[in-house]
Amino acid sequence: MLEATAHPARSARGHLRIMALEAGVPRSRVDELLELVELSSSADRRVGGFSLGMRQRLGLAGALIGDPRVLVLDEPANGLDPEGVRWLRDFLVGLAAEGRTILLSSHVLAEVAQTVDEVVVIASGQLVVHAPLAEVMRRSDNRRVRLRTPESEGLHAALLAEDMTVSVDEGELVITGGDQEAIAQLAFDRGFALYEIATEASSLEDVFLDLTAVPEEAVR
Amino acid sequence: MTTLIRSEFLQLRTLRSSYATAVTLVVLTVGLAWGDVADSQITDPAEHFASAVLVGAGFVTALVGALFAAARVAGDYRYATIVNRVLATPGRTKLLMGRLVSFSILGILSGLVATALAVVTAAAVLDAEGTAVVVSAGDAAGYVARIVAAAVLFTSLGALLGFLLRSQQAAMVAIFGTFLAEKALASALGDVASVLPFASLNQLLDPTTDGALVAGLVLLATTVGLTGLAAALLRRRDIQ
Repeated sequence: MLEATAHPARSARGHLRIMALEAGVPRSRVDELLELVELSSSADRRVGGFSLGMRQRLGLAGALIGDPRVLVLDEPANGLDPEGVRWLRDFLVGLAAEGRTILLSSHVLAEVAQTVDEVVVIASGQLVVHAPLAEVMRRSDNRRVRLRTPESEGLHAALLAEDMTVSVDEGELVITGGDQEAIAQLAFDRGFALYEIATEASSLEDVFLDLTAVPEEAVR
Repeated sequence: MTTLIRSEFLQLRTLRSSYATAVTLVVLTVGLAWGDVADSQITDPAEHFASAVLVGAGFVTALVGALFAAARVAGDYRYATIVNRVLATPGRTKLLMGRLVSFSILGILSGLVATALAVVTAAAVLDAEGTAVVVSAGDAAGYVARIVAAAVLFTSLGALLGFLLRSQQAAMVAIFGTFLAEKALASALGDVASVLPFASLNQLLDPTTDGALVAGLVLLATTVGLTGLAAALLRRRDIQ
């Protein structure tokens, strides 16, 4: 769903009335939907004058005309401004809370991570993973610990000695291969002062790239 | 089928261009009927009356109907609203037939209204000039039948062009191009020219000839042939 496929000279109400008639649902459903997608005040305006966000809302209203239990949405946030994206997220979460199943296909993974309960990753036509979002996020081996210390050279050497991978980024140490508690304990035991330490959570995008990475031998 | 027809009429009612077309139809019908009787050296009032009615109502409803139907159907492809139509009615032949029936009903309604307007206009002009015309019930029925047939067949042909060409511009070019090409090539084509769409329309609406039935059948055969072609292509082609 990119946006409503409506005649630009027709009003939003007219567009939905036609869909309601063809779907065999009562006309009163049109006003309900206009209210639901917050288009009541623009219901009699021509669709041609609608913003992209309004067209998306109209498209959603059209998809909901038959009160479906399952909704399949392809890139619904495409082209929306931040306000529209937030509205869409709240709207979809609200629909899911009513007991509907919403299959959301999107390449904007940061947005997906804030909206969905379960993730399905498909790569090269194969199902890679289908699991709750939290579980998928835990699968990532890309979690990094970032710390700030006045004794970075000494601590750097100590961490390397523990088989951790350490890099320096803007004066901070970035460590992979160890968790935050273990690193903090090591620094305390060796007498290194820490000004700041935090775990950088992987983004869904990182997890996706991990899960769908093509092995080098396959590329060759 | 009932839902398809109701949907088509709701689609027409929810577009301002439908009302603009209706106004255009009224203005052209009245104008042509008026002009046809007002500017004539009247020798046979009944014949002029018939000509004014048939040209004013018949030719206008046929041409405006064809242009309007072609624009409406091709417009569904232009604005991708054909997707909604096909989702609502997955049977494409049924969709095609539903639209043809809808536009045929529209042709009947517009033909009847235009006939009434042309009759009233022509009678009023002749009456103002002091010329009385008496039309028999048989003649009146004949006018109505010719005009309605012309409106239905040309409106359907317009809708079929919309399905076949899927472009409003191409459909307009095809309609006006056929009209001009028939005029330009009439002498070169000889007898073949008489079975072309606009020549058939002229014959159908000409009160001085007896070829109306044959012309109507030729137009009907053209419509049936194009319906078969449109149904085959609609089933085979992607809708976008």
